[in-house]
Amino acid sequence: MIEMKEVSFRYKSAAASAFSAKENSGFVMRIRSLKVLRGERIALVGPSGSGKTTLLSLVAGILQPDFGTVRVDGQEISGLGDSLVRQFRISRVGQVFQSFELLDYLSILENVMLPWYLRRDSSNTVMSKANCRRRAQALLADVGLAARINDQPGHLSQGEQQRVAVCRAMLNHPPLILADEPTGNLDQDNKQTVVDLLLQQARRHDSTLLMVTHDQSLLDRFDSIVDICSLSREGFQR
Amino acid sequence: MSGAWYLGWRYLAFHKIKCATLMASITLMLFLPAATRVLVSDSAAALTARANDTPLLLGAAGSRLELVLNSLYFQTGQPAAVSNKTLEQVQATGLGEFIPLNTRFQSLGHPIVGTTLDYFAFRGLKLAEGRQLGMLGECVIGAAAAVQQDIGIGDYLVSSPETVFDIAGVYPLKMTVVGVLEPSGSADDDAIFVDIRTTWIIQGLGHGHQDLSRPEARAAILNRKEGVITANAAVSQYTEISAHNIADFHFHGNSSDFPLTSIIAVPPDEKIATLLRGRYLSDEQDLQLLVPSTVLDELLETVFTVQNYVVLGLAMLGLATVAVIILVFMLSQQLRRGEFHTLSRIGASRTYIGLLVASELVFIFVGSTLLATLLILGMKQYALQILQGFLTL
Repeated sequence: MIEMKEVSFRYKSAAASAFSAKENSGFVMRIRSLKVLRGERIALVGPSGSGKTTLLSLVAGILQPDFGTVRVDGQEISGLGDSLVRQFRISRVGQVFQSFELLDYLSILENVMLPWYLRRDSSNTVMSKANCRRRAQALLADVGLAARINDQPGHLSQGEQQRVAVCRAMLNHPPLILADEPTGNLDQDNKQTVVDLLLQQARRHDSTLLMVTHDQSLLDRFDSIVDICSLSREGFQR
Repeated sequence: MSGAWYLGWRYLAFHKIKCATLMASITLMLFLPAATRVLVSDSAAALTARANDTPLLLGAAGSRLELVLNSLYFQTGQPAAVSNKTLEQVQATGLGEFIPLNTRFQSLGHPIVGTTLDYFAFRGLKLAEGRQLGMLGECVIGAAAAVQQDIGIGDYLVSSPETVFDIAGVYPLKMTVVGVLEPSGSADDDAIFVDIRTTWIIQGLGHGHQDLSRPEARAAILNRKEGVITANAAVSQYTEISAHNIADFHFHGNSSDFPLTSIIAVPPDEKIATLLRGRYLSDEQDLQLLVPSTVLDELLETVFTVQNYVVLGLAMLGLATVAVIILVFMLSQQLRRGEFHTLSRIGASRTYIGLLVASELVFIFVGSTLLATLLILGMKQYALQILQGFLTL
């Protein structure tokens, strides 16, 4: 599902650094190899600043490697043009962020439908709005938020907001879910709930889950644990 | 609505106060200079059109502008009166048609215009319903006055007393509406027309009361000497003129001395108009003969000069507003960097985000322009009244 070979990346411009705090820091990331199978659920660990978010950005096509190849689902994304890589990201990647990143001016339902609003302008093969709405409503019902679809995100607790963010990531039933410390801002109960939700959704749609976490208590829930520091030395292959 | 447009719309709908403030600023920025120009040009056109239709105006010496505005639009303060004798004199010259006007009185805020039937023909005023003035105490009303007061044929209007606290003053006159005019889009729409002699009755120069020679009027007689009967305060005065009591109405004094506001002079050709103007050129006369369009052109020249300064000031204010709006917009984009970052990470292109921002601008500018246009259209309805209001200040 995910295959990275001899990947090297260095932040070099303000444009690229918009996706990271490592602006002009001289940070260099090297990955000898990483191979993750379809349906695998991987926890990505490592010290702060070791490149976990950068790795997710490379897999999502947000960043392009200087050297090496990144393949997702058999498709090499490191060589795709901007338009194709964005289309790939909208349709085949679900992303969950640490700070939820819901849009305050949209309702909860509309936030879940956001990939549809973005995709509609970049692809001709889209589902109808009614279908999208039904799917979003079903996802929200799954996470216990059916009664709050018209609320604004600001009216929800943090745990509820992250559940909405998970629904947004799952809207297109993506084969790949990238979660960047999704439990970092949550209390213990909500951590478990969100991780359960991610794992359950990944299992239901046979999606690959790559989740960055610092939380040791969650690691035993994953199929594999990958230390990013080891990737530059020996790589990771199941 | 495509995705970016929808998101732009939702952003504005969520930030209602911010959006409304921005729209109000832009609306005012567009509206004020345009409104000033429209107000002045429309008013000028309306004022000039009516003035151009009035060849000459004869009135007492004094404010030229006041005489023209009062005689053409029945507004502003009352100019000094001319006597009915003046009318008789100019009519005797045979140098055209002369139409008297007496605009001193009001009813329910509408001007009562005393004139003759010639005025209706001169202005091309047609009856929408009813008939023309046939008797003292009858009135024909303009279309707007009829609508505003919800009155029609057979209803009554009462003249407003000039001084409410003058208990010895003249009684208000109850006038019967016998006709309603078609709309003309002029000051005539707002007026109440009566025969010129009816205005003299309203003024107290003529009146009607019970016949003192009849036995039942004995209690109202103060003194009877040598065929002259003097009535006391108990005499019953009529406040309404009807077919039954019209014979009891009469005027006191010499009708040549009765007042008029002005006289519209309609000479048959330019040569006779010049002759007429020549008769009133002397500064020593207590009369003046005006060409209304000339008086209004002088006024409008001043108005246009002021307008140019106002528009210049507004344009500078508009530029300052644009600068502030650009600053606010740039700051707003800084605050939204996180949102754009999220959209980009999920898959939105720079073009998409640009379209989102552009859609918000389009909504705001189109909305503001529509609002400003509606305001201007609404204001156009009242352009003439607004300018007249300014002139009467």
